[in-house]
Amino acid sequence: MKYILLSIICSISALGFSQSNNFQVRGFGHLEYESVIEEDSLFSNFKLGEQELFVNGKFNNYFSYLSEITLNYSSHGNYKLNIERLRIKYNYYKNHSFIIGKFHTPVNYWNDVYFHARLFFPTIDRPLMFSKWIPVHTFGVRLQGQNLGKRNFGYDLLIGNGMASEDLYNVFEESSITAAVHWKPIDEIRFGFSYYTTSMKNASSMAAHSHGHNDAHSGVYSGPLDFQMLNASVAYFGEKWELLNEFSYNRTETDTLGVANNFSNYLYFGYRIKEKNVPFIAYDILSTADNDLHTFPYNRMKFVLGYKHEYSTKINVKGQIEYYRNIHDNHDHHSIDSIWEFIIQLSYAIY
Amino acid sequence: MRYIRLYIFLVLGFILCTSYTSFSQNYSSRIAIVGNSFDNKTFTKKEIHSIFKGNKNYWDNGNSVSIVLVLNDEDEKSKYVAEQIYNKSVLSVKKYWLGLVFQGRFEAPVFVSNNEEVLEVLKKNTGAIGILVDYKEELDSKSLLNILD
Repeated sequence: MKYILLSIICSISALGFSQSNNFQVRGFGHLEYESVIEEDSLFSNFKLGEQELFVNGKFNNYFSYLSEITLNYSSHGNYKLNIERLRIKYNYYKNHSFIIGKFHTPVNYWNDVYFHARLFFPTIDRPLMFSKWIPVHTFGVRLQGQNLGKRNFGYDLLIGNGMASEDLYNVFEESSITAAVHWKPIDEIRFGFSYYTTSMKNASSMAAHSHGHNDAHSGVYSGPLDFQMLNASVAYFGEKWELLNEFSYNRTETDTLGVANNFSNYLYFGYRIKEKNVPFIAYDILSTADNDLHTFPYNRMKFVLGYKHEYSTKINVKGQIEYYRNIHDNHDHHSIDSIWEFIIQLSYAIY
Repeated sequence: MRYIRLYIFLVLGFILCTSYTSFSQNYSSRIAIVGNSFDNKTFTKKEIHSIFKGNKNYWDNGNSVSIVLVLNDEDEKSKYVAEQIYNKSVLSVKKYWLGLVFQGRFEAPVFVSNNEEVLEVLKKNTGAIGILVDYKEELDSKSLLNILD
């Protein structure tokens, strides 16, 4: 397996040396140091983050290719290879396209713009909602329009696999539908809304949970569940100020405990100083209903204070202090201890 | 509910205040816009800004849009183009393009070193469009585009 992987990477790299404007290879990656203080304990580690290979190119005027492949550390001496995106795009009319393959589900700004390269992330971590219910990838077909009209309107309509798998679409078994719209009244601003729906046969299998911190649950519900989600995004990235707000609401329904309403909101503010320095703050909240059988009761807040320095467009360093706590201090069985974290991340691109 | 309204008000208020400066975009006679194979050779400045930001994939004649740019960090002409066309710094324009390509929304521009290389790439690529700054030589009337205010 290692030799196959090595040969794939070598051959793609070799092609990269002779890349024309129609075929390009780029590398992205990050390194991370983390200290976690929980009660009286301190854990620290320095780790190799995701390393990725990004390839894109055109077959002709209408067909194009894009792939994003990551390599992740899994255990001592072992790495996991993931295809995060692989899609063929057919640009059939002006700015309208038909896409087939595996792509990031365009449910919010973060998932539609940042993907896996930490170089682009405004904060070190993804919002909390990503570790609980955001279906990061979809494998299927997609209709896309972008920069339409004076206000740069865009749309996405896709049908693909449900949450159980990200790489295999059992067409008559479990499907998801995503409808998303966005518009950019001026270049720096983007507003977006989306709707996502799926019916799961087994609510315990959610591939996208692999993107976040998993909390172990005993007696996980593995029956059928209907999942519907609404998201709203506001993004402003100007020359000085930066703002990103991601709101997510979902409604789950089971025969056992009925309807549960859950929500999450992530808010980020940054201010650019002398072009390359961005001090920032972020506030993240996630709240689930007691009868939810998909995410399970989880009520947390996260405060972030951080700083980013961009050495160039290809390398930056971020440092942030994070504080996690419960929304309510009711000390019930769902409560989790407060946590302080200190993280430094070096992210880069090679091309 | 009251807090949600206040929250929305603050977020939208912030955006309106900070985006005010983004509407002021003009450029002077130092810049010439050149292209290869166009049916319509007259554009407004607004259209030019939109094209160079990657908002248009195809020309009306079906040729795909290919952008040619000179963008060097310390070059005064590059800073001028970044400011006049993108209303950004050179660093921000580079980040903008890296992000756009990574999102799969547009093909990367062809980055070259000087005006002569812009013209050279243009000659070889149908549908290519580029920017010349302080170019003193006489330009072929077929490649020079007319820009209206």
